[in-house]
Amino acid sequence: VTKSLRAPYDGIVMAAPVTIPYVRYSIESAQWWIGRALGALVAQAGIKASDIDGLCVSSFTMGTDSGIGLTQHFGLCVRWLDTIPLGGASAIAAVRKAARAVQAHDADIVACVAGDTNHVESFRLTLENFSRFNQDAVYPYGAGGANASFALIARNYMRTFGVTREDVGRIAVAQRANALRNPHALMKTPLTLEQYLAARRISDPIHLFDCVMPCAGAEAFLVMRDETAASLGLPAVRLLSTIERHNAFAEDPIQVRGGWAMDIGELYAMAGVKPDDLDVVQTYDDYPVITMMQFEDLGFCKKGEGAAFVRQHDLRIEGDFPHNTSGGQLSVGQAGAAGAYLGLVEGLRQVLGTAGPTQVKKASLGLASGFGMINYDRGLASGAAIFAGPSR
Amino acid sequence: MIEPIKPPQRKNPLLRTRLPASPPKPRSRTSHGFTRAAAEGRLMLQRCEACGTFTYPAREACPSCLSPGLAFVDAPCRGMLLAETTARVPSDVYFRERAPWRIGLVKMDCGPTIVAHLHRLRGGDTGPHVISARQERASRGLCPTRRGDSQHGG
Repeated sequence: VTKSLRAPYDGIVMAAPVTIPYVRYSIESAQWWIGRALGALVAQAGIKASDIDGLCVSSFTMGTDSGIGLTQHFGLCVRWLDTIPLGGASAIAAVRKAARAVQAHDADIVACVAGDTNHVESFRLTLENFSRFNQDAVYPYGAGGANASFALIARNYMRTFGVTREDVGRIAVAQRANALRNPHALMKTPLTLEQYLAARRISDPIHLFDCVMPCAGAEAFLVMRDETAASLGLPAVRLLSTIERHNAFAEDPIQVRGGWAMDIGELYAMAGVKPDDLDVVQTYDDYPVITMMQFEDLGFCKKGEGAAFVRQHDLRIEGDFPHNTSGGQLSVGQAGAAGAYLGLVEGLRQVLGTAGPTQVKKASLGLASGFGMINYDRGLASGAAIFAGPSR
Repeated sequence: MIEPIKPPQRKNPLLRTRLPASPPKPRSRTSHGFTRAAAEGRLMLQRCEACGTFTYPAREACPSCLSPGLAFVDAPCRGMLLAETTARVPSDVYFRERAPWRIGLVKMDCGPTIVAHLHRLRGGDTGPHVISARQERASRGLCPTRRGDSQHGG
């Protein structure tokens, strides 16, 4: 089978990035959070709910619902519907599917939304019911969850490439500095490298500040064609390129790279840009060591040079490599599947110039990545998107 | 003579009582093959009858050739420990009450990679290991590993 060239995303845009501020615990349901996000989308875009004719939903805590239940719940009559259960890769997958739907005129305005609640038992229930391989062969071995699984990956990665906890900690510390400017971040106090290093052990070498805080929240945006956005007078972000890959490098005995490494040439070629051209980068930071892996796999440095890259760059908003400007999941919180959207939604605000206190000056070209689904021993899903604001 | 049952010791009210909890139950039907083998003290893995590939965790089709013929067979026990960790804060009550849990990722010489308990393991965190199967309450089967224990070699 020969591979064919992909069609460009001509005239496909994203608009109305929405964040419903997170809370640590919520007595509300996932449906409540998703409803808030849909309401905010409609309000911000100045449209009626009936103008939404496509819906794409991601959530871990909707119980027995999927997207179809939500159409009736929220009174939406759509002609295109998708439910994406890809964890941290959900946002990239959503924008890819929605973009093709509006490009083919199967829908005109697709609402992409992710939201989760966090009850006392929500996180453990998600872990226990995550996947078949997890139930058979991971959870019964101590139920360390993602912390233990990523600890194995992190330990191997750090030993193989000579990475220290200080190197990894720089990412978490820089993101906390960014988060202090984001009023919606759950983490409100500064974090020093000393505090990072002195944190209690969770699953060696994963310590407390390597972990995200499970919380409740929602994120959303709209996908449409540029003429639709223009007719609504909506500032819009052009989608330049995307990649998505699942179960890449299955032959690697332990994960040292994600699927990005397989498709990264296509990502930049399709967008017609180089890694150096990007003004703002939002990686999927479920653990800072995974962010370091992304710096390599997304082409900012070579494999094994992630630690040196982090030492040589200032990852803060005012720095030379503005990264996870909202504070990322590490400092804002991880609202389930909304964690996948957090980077992309913040990236959209950045290139629209509407990020407020976390705004990077003159940001016009952004990248957001996603990563997720530690089905057994590694993260299976990866994706990335490059997008440009109106000023570019 | 049968010894009379001793009355239980009086509870020290100052000590914390372990919460009653069962190990997690959901498990695929196929994965019970590991438990059955472990009950006999054997390490068995699924091997494809068509192409000979060993697989783990329990599958319904071969990841190499998609053949449905995956039979449980005695598996060679040697593997390389790639990385280990100690889960100190499990989310599940059963495991949290018995934490910490030391686990590792073992690349078996016969192919698959296995998440395993690490029992009575000394020394560095990587290297060759012999893997064995036990009846263990929570994981119901697979794979404590012990460095250089030739009795369980295969």
